[in-house]
Amino acid sequence: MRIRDYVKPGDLSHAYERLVGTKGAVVMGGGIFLRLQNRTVPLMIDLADLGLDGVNITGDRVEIGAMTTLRQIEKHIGLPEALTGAMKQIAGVSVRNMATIGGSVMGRYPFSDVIPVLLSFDTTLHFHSSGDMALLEYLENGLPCCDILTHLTFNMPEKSAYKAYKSIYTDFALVNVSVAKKDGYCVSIGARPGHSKCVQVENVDEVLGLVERFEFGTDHRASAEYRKALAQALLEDIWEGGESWK
Amino acid sequence: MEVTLIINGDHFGFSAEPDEVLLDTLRKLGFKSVKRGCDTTSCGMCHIIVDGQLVPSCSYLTVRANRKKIVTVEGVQEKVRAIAEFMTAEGVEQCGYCSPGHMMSLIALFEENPKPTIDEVKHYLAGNMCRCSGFEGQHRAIAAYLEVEQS
Amino acid sequence: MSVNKSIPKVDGMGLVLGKPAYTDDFAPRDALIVKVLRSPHAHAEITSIDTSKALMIPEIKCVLTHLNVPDVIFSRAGQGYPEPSPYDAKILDKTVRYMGDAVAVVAGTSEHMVDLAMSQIKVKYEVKDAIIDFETALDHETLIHANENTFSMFPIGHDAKRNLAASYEMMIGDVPKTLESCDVVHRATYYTQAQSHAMAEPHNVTAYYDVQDRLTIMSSTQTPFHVRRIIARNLGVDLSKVRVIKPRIGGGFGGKQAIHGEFYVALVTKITGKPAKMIYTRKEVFESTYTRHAMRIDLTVGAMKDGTIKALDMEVLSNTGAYGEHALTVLMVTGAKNLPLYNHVESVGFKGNVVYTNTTPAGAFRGYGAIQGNFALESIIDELAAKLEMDPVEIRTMNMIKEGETSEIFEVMGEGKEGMAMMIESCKLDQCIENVMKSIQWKEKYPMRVMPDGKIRGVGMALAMQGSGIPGIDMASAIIKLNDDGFFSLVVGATDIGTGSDTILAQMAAETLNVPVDQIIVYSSDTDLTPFDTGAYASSTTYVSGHSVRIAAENMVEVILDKARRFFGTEDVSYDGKTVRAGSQEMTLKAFSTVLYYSEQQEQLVSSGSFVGEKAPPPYMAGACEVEIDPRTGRIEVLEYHASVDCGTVVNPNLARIQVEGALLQGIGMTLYEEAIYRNNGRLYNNSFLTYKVPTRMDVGPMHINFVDSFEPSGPFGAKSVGEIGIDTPPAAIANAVYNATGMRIRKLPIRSEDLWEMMNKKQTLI
Repeated sequence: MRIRDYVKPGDLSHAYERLVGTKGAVVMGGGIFLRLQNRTVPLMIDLADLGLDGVNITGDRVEIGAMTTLRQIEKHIGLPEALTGAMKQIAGVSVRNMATIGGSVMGRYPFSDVIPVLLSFDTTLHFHSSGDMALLEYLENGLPCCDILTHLTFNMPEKSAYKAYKSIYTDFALVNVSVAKKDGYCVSIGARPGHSKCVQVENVDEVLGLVERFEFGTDHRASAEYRKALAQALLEDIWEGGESWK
Repeated sequence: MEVTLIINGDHFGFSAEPDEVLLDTLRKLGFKSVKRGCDTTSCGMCHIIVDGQLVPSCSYLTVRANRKKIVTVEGVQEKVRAIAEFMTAEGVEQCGYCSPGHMMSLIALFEENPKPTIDEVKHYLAGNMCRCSGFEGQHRAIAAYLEVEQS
Repeated sequence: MSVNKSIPKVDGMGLVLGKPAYTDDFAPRDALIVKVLRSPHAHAEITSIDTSKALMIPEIKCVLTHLNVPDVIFSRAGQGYPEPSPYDAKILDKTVRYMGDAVAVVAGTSEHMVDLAMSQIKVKYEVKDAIIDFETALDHETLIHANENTFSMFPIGHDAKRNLAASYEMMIGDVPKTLESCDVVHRATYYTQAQSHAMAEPHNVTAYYDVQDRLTIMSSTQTPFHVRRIIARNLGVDLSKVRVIKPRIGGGFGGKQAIHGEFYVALVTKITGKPAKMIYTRKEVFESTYTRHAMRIDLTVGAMKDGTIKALDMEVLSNTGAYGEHALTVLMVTGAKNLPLYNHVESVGFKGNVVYTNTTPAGAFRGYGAIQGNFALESIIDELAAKLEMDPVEIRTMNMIKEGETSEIFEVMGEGKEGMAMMIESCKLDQCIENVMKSIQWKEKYPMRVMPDGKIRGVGMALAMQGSGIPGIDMASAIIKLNDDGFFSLVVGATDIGTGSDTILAQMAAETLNVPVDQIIVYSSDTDLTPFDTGAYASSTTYVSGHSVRIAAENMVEVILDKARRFFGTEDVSYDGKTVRAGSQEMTLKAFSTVLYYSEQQEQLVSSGSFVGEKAPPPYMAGACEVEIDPRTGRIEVLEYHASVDCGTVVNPNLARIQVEGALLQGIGMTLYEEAIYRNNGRLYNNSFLTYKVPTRMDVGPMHINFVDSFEPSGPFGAKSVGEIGIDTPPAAIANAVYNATGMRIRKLPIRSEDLWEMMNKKQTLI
């Protein structure tokens, strides 16, 4: 990626002004995929100095700053198991030291290990200008205009778990599954290979049959049929020792 | 853009393009331990420590590192030598190209967790590729180092 | 004693400490940045190419296209000369034959400006039909090299009009007749894939004119002498005007055996007079260097009810991609390094075609041919055992090659021409099998067991053989000089690519000279300073280069004794590594050498040795593994791998062990995970480490390596090779273990969990 200009603003409104005021400007979270893009960016706005990182847990409410790194989340002992667990096999430690949760969400990567978990938590995204938006809505529709994600929030699930099927430890998932227990059970499946989807049921007995309610696709890495079988196996693994899920 | 980096304790002031990455900057400045392996943050060969954090220098903008403290293998020779004694005793460094990045990961790990188990070591180093060794010898060497260090 | 000792690599500590050691670490600061514009089409003719805008950029110093480079045709293969590979490549060509083929070369003072200039080059292509599926390539209506005057230096079965890079056929005995007399005949077809080397250091090269105006090329190459020959001849420069230096290399595995960026950089320097350098991007390493040859292997085995194997017949179709480097030799090895394993047969046949396609060229890769053929052969032995309801180990033991035996194949099949007859003087396969069976607890685990969690475990085994250099072709030499103060310089052409060959060669010199290894200073791989060596390939360094060092060291002892006779004026002299004795007088080597260079009867003591093998004694190995399979997903995990290796005397047990462990993991990677996947239009899907995944440390189970007591009479200090043998067994051993666990026979690599899952669900064989 060619970058013509770079700023690291110290306050959010200044960052936002530069973003809306410069055609083609891009905000930088972790910057991990910088080298994968072959394009020219007139202005790179680095969000590193805005104090947007950190985890705040108040009662049931969890707030995670957009610039919180995946490694910070992985090591946080108060966060739900599905979320910390999902971090462990994302590339290596050095990548997780740079990559941010905001960047992971905003990229809407279908292979994401982070999004299915946040989706199963019914996460809300908070933007500087456009305000709040459900993660699901963002995944489906994106943003109407350019904006800066400041933080995301969700209510702490009673219990949660995440599993991904990866051929090689650090590979992208062939399929991944996150389950969260709140009032009912939220099951989201990602890398289908399309975007993560989430299905909610009230009754614990319905969970293992949930895979039928997802659509799976075929690409060169796996067939739809196989992805479905993997998702079922992952869900079964999550359900092992199922008593506590009830 | 004007940039100052504190590399292994020394100040370096220079002008950098906005899209220059630390890998290129450091190699230009003579820190040849920092190796180019993949360009996609996938191999760990360009690992350095920036303000205490292990990062892939191939994707870290030099301008972003302004006024930050950078550590490369050149700056921690004695620490590296202590570990390397065990690596070379196993003969496991082989081509050696991934070794400096691998050492930076270990140094970052020991900062974070001075007494890791071998499973913790493996998990921490999962992003450090090696195509020569089959890894087993690395783990034998690290286990031996930890045993001596911890006794 | 220095041989058979685990001495640390002489360069190891320096490398871990990050000392400048590799090509790009030494590139001149003002080197022009060289980049290559690459073809977006799998097959096209360049109808016009306009570089005028690029040349108008002041920072751009040179742009090369097929219009302004020497129009010469050659083989980029780094192998014996004349090469047994077709001459089918040009520096830059009007035709591009795969996505990533070179179109133009741009050199400039700034990387950004070079990038800009590349985007300003206007190329018009006439796109042609491309052949991606190698099974359709032979006699396809589209011809990949038909317009060029391709040729071979001697007959290799090359026929560009048929898309045939090379072909070969031989038969010993009468295979059809033997098969008729067999109780059981079993035929099967196996497929192996293109694998990428994924060495750590990309292919880097730098060039400059030195103070004597000689073109100096520093390159991450496995074959500096071949690079000098190929570059000088084709650039029209005298060999005497070219120097090639190989510094430390970040891994090769065969991927740096051929010419890569050397032509581009050398030509830029030749034209501009300026230093230049090229760093391959990882994408270029994947798309525009080489892969392993993908193959289809049809194999037939004929046997009697009691398990006696009477006939083997192998037919290979090999994909060499766009160019034919190593096309013939990889094919030959597929048979020659496998079929002799079962040498008691009445008849044996081998034939094969190597075809061109519009994909990344295939080239040398550790265990080339051997691993592909081993997958087929060692799978079919288990299949035969199943058919005969026999124990697969028993059927191997009954039929395998033994010490004191030979195989006619050694004489019939060489590297591109006839081979050399060879008696096997060391073969401890029986011991290797016994060792792995014991260490994996074969009797308890064979064939399978179901675990409480529903997962299934099975064990599998495979045998392998390799070679030790190419007899009559691979040549190596060494020079030893005695320095004042009594230490020695060992100067070798041999190419250490990270394996530790500098170290083991120093050990051999130290052994003969009877001095500690630290008294041997090694300098290697510099065409100006070091004597000739064909290079690091074909498992040749320990055996061939090792012998040259042994001979040089023996000669040095003679040179020292001869000087002592003249110096002391007596015939009664001896040398023990520390002291030179003459009659009743004695002098330490340290004192003796210092006197020789400073004060009395001054004379430099130098010796040399060179060697070419008359045989290539195979190292042998038995590999066994236990796999665990999740029937719900088909996931295969290699729980443990056991290997017992006969490589003769183990020169450096640590380094040998790492060679085997590293090779095993590459073999496991090929078996379960790795494949260069091309889309229908010829684009390589996985061209980065994000998408081409090699096993990480989390994906590998324990490996148990053992070396059997063995001594190869023809080897230096009893040694044979160990660099390649380790990669050969995983495909068949794992496939056999999967069969033993599930009853599913997989004949296609990589063994994808989805394929196994599908077979287990549908209870049918894939091919």
